[in-house]
Amino acid sequence: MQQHPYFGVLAEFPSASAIYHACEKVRDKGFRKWDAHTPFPVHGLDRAMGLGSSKLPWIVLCMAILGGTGGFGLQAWINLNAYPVVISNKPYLSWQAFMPVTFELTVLLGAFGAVFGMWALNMLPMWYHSVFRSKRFLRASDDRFFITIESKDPKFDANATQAFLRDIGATHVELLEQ
Amino acid sequence: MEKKPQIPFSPDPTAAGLPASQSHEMQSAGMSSAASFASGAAHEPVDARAPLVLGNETFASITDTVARPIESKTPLAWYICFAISLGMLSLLGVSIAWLFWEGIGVWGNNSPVYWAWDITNFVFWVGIGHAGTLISAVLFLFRQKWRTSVNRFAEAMTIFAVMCALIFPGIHVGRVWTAYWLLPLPNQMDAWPNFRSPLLWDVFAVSTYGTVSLLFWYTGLIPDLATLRDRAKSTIARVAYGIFALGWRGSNRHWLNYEKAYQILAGISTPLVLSVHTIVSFDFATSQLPGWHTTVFPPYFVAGAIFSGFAMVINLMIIARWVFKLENIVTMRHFENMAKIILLTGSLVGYAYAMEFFIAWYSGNPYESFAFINRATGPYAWAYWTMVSCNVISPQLFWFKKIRTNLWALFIISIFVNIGMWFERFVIIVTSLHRDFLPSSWAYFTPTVWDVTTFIGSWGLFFTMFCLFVRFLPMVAIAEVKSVMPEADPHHGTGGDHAQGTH
Amino acid sequence: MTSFEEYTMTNGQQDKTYWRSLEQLADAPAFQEKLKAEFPLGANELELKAGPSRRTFLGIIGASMALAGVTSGCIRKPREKILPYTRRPEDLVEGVAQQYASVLRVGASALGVLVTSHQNRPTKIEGNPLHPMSLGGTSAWAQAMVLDLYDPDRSQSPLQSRKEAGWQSLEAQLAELASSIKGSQGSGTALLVENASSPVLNGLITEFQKVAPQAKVYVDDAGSRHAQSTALAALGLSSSQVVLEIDKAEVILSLDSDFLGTEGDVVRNTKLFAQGRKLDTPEATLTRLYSVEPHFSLTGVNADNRLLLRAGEVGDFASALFDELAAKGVRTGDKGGAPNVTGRPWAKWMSAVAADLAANRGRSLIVAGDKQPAWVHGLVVALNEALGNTGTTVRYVPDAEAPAFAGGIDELAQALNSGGVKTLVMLGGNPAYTAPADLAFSQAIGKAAVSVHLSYLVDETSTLATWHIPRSHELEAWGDLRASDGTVAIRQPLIAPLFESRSEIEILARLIGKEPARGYELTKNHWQAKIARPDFDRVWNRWLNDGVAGDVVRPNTSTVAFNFAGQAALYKNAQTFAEPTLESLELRFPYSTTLYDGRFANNAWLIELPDTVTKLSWDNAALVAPKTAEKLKLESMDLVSVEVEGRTLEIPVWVTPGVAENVLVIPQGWGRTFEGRVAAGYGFNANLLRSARSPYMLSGAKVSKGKGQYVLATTQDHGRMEGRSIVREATFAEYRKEPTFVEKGELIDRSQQKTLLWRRPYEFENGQQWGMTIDLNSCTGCNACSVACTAENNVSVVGKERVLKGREMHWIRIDRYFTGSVDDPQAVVQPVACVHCENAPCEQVCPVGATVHSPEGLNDMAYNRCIGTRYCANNCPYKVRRFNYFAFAKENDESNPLYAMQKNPNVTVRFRGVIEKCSYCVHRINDARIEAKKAGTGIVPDGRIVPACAQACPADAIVFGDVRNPESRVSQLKATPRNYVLLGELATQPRTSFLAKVRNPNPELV
Repeated sequence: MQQHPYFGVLAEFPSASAIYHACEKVRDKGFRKWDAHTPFPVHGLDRAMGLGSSKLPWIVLCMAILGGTGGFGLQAWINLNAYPVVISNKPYLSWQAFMPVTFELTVLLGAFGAVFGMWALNMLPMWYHSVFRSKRFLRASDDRFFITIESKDPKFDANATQAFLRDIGATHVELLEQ
Repeated sequence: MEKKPQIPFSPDPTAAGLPASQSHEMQSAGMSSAASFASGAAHEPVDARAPLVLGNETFASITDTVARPIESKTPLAWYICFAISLGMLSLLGVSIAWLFWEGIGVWGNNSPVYWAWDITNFVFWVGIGHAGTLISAVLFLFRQKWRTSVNRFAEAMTIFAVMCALIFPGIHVGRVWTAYWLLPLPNQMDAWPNFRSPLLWDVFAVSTYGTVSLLFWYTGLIPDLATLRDRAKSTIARVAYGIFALGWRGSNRHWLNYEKAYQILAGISTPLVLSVHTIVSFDFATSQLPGWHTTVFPPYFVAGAIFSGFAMVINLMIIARWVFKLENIVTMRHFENMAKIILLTGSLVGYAYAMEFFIAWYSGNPYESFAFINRATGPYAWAYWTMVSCNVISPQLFWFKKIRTNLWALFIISIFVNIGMWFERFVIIVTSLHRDFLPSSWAYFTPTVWDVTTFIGSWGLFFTMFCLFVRFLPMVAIAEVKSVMPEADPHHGTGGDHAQGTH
Repeated sequence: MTSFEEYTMTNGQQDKTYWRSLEQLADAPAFQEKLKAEFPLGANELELKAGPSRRTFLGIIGASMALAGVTSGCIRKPREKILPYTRRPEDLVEGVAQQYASVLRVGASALGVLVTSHQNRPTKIEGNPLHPMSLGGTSAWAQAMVLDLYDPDRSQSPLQSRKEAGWQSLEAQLAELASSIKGSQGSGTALLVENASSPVLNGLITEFQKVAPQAKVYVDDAGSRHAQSTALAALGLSSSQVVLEIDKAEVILSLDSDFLGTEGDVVRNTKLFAQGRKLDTPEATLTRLYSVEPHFSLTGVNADNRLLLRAGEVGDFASALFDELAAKGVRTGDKGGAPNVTGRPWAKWMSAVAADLAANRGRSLIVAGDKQPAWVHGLVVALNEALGNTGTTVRYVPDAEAPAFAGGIDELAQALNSGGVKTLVMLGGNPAYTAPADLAFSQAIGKAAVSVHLSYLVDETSTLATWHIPRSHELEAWGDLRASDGTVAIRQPLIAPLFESRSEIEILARLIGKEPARGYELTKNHWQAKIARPDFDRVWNRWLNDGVAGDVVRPNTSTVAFNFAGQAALYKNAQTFAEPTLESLELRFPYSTTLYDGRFANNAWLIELPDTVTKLSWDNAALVAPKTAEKLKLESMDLVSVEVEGRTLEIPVWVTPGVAENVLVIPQGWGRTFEGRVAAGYGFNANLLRSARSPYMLSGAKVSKGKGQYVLATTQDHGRMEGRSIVREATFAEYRKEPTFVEKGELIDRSQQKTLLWRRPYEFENGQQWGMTIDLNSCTGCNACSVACTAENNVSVVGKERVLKGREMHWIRIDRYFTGSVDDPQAVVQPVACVHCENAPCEQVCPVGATVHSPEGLNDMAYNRCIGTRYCANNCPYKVRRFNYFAFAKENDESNPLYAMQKNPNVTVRFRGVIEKCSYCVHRINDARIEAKKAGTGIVPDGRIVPACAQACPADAIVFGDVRNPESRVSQLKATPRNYVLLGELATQPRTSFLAKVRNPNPELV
């Protein structure tokens, strides 16, 4: 599809409830490439937008397993192959003694998975985004609620979409350039 | 329409897994404290929910309140605190420099007391840290919404405390320039660390703890950094906050993963925080020294850590709240809840003390029983009884609501608790070592000036970091606080009634 | 000196350095003088910097910069040049040590030794098994003498009235003296020698007396055993020496004698005594040692029955014993007017002893202490004769060639004060310090126009003499020594004098005008003349090889002709010592067990070595019984001023069990005032109170509490065992009844001590497995092992302030516990080093695996891997691990570069910040293993490996070997019922085990 001059429309809503209901309508209108921007996670909004659940837990699980097995494996390898020495005449594979480190590495890699997995899924950091072009959007992190509908969306039509958004209660609507 | 509770941002106490009655009790508690305390609390909150935020605050006003300290002119008090902290920090620098130059001998450590203030301070600081993680993680899982206004602060404390803690194992080794040998790094000698040593477990536990705490804290900060970015007047501030805000734009698709990440971090931080002090206690529990070789140590250490950590949070919170006028966000209810936790953990610690003596007697091990009799009656009895009176007796005052809700009492008792907890570690380490198996090697330990300056210096680091934190970062989680306000509920106002109606 | 001043004194050392640096800035001539001296730098490093000190300021700045990355000066590693041989000297293999036989004068004994030399550096002294005074053993003193060779303060050039003078002018002076002596027949000349134990010196003295008949020759030395020789002379055995055949004695009575510690041939005595204490077989018998003494000597520590009796009353005891034995039908004869003593509290004790002695005629032995007056010795000689011990357990060996002396130090002082002495020549000794105060010898020296002093250090006497001559160390000079039993050994040097110096025979030869006057010729010619044999060179070489001059006939001692009429003369000028009270205490001046008469005061090893009984290091003190201290309201470290006969001394008290009531014990040898960087300022000079009339005991002393306290450094704060079975002990009767009595001491049944929670991956079933036993029954607590270990393993000296902090580094220490009542206790000693646990608690806690187990069962310590967490030391139940809190080794070397020459190249010198501990002398094990491999067997024969401690031990208490081989000596000892391990209930399964102590008290006295 041809490159559109606009990124899309930005609509501003006064309150959490306003955007909640607006999202329901946008969802029902069948838009795909759109998003809501709120200063805090508005409860239930993901359902109102018809979003599925996050894939993050799977990433974390893999990382945690990697950390755990890797941690224990390292210790076992060192004490059985790389550097087996008689220490207090304890067994070479003193697995009980290896538990703490195994556990800690599980947690550590799990945490990495959670944080950097979240970055990856959200494609962060992304220091530039068209929404930042709007002066009003500054309040998206304060007390205002926004909906953006991208021009990439097949249903998008600069004028019609703006009108639609006004209808569902947007206090202000503007076009965003790429 | 049906909706499943979204933890923790559900505005609904029942959704938060609390019986309605309790929620009402919470409310009344909040109300009364509000009435008794915050002047601006004259007006009723807009609806009947328990007020976690007092006064008629709006989203914007919350943002303003939290951002004010950062954007407005720095109060003189801050400059004074920072100067003092910086002075103490430089004392740390000098002490460590002298230690590296001369050797461990500049401290009072001797034979048989090979560990003394160094490890005492280490355990003390690690313990302080625990409250932070507990508030941010455990209370999160237990859906204690009151945590939202204190968790940022407590997490910061955790990180700074862990920084202080990490100093000591680092500098207490005789050849500090070889300390990196603790890590399993391949080397030309093909030598590897000994994974049977609790000290090595410490290395992993404490560094993991520090890292995860930092990630957790930072993740919580991202939306607020975005807020500061968007409010920033100066370019430098905008760029600085902007970089760390990662370009956060409050996208709801992001919030979805974000909340999941936060939840998972809370989930794994909970066993982590318990494991850390458990492992620290292994340093002692797995040795064979009478007074160290004790199975009660893990739970006892964890309780003690939470105990001292909460005391520290209270101390810092009271000051910050006063300096930065956060009365509406950090309410009496927060303090009272923390006081209750101190009362609980303090009692646990007291029980552990008693149990140690019982087991020492019951085990029939003469060395064991001697070690404990020596604690209470030996040359270090003064330290032992300081510990008992601070840790066991003083928190019992929290049975009285009057004391729980009196800031002065809270402040002083919390200080006592921290003194007591430092002495607990001192008693465990020094009095156990100074008289062990062979009387021929018994000796008395006395600290040198360098022991003292190093400890004071670590406080310097702690306070310096804190000053910078309150000056440049939002000390209250803005987004989270907003989310627990009545206006945060999409069914508030227009659909509020039907929201009530549905359940 | 108040405690405050004491502290400023030690800091004063640093102040001095500080001023020194100012002088340096000022380029003061005084500083240039100091630069000429060999090692002025770091002179005070042995002093500890308690907290910030001289280097504090610069240090902090420097370190801060280092941290800031300005400099990388934090870790200081020495930069050194290594020069290889271009042509290897004959019979010298790099890295292979050589041993040479020699003989040293140690205390009162001539000790045959084997000196180890690495690339011609003497590093270690061992006993010579062929020499009767050593029998392979050594003492702490002998072990430490190698360090004296590298003394930082040893004199390096002759001094004329304290100003440096060249050797030429000295030679000129000596030549002049020689001619004037010849001219004047030696009138107005006085010669002072230390002792008559060197035949060569004796020969020269006789020659001197021929050349200068008018000259007077005096002898003075702590080891000259004045009282004894006086007594023997009076009884018709002039210039005879006493030799104890203790192994032949069943019952031994020591009358205030310390024959195991400081008096006579202690090494030989200990060797023979220990033979009677071995209980390797159940049916073995045990000798019985009675000791009558006013305070714990090593002899008293090892006594089966000990009578606590003030020194002044011991004579009465001897006299009463004399009568008692006579009553028991022993033909004792006349006691020469010694007092008749009755109704003393110890009468019963005494008669029991008498009965025991009478029952063991010919198998008993009575020994009188050197600190007892001559008449007591006379009585003892008579008693031994009457009991038929003469010739069996005690021998009197005459020395026909001993020169005639005009007297001792008293006579010399008189002669000087009477103005009869124009020329005074002192060949060694340090009378200005050692002489009793009432002689005022320091002033007396001035009376002589010319006074020449030969000494190793520029000591108190040297600074008073008009001439000081540097003396060669015994390891640097040729000579010989005649042991008390007549055995002669040649003293051969191991190294050329480090600084030009002379030996006593060389100086005396010059005074006679004898040529050539070099030690080698003097010695060899003397003996060539004696042993007129054509093949003398071969004989001579054999002597040097053996360390014993086998061809010198020993005097016949089978028949002794006493003249007991002399008894009366002995008693005539005897003095009595009134019963002491709190107002008038009795003083007693024993020799220091570490510094002897003060000659070892500048020896860093010995000054830091804790006394076995008091456990005091770096100081002496006035020892007082707890009861007396309580009555005097004194506590340990309180400063008191002791006043006797108008002489006073301020000294701290140290409350010590086992001291007689109302007695003050002040060891000699401390409080040196010369410029010794080790000795100066430590301890208190007992000689300031002593009197020539009665050098070792005085009555009528008053004690007044001084102001403040003086901090004394002790290595053991706690003297009780707290009911723990650490040293296990039984009487001989109990042992006979129940040989396995040690098992009563186990907290957990021995079988259970083996059970573990885990399966051991390694059962120590291959190769040789090393282990050790320490027999507490023969160990006398002499400290030889401790010093030997220090010498062998390059163990650092740390200084008083650090000993105060419990940072001493000794790898093997002597634990001392008191048992029984506080007022009349018994003492037990226990050497403790790393016991090499099979399940070592230290290993599992080391995060970097710096201490791990070797396949042969050693608990190895890898210094290079150690990062210094000290966790291992915390977890060691025996607390045998030592930590380098500072760069001790570096400081030692800074304080004196010469110390580096003593270092054992086979043992790593430990860096700051690492843990160190006993290694079972692993370098010796490896040495033996290599040898065995070369021999092809690969199996090290039993007894081939001897750790330094075991080698030094004069009591053969320490046995090392392969515990896997049931035939080995150590295995057999471990199989004996007395065997037990320390803290066995911890299941550490140590390789070092102890053999329990068994005392053999007189049943009537239990």
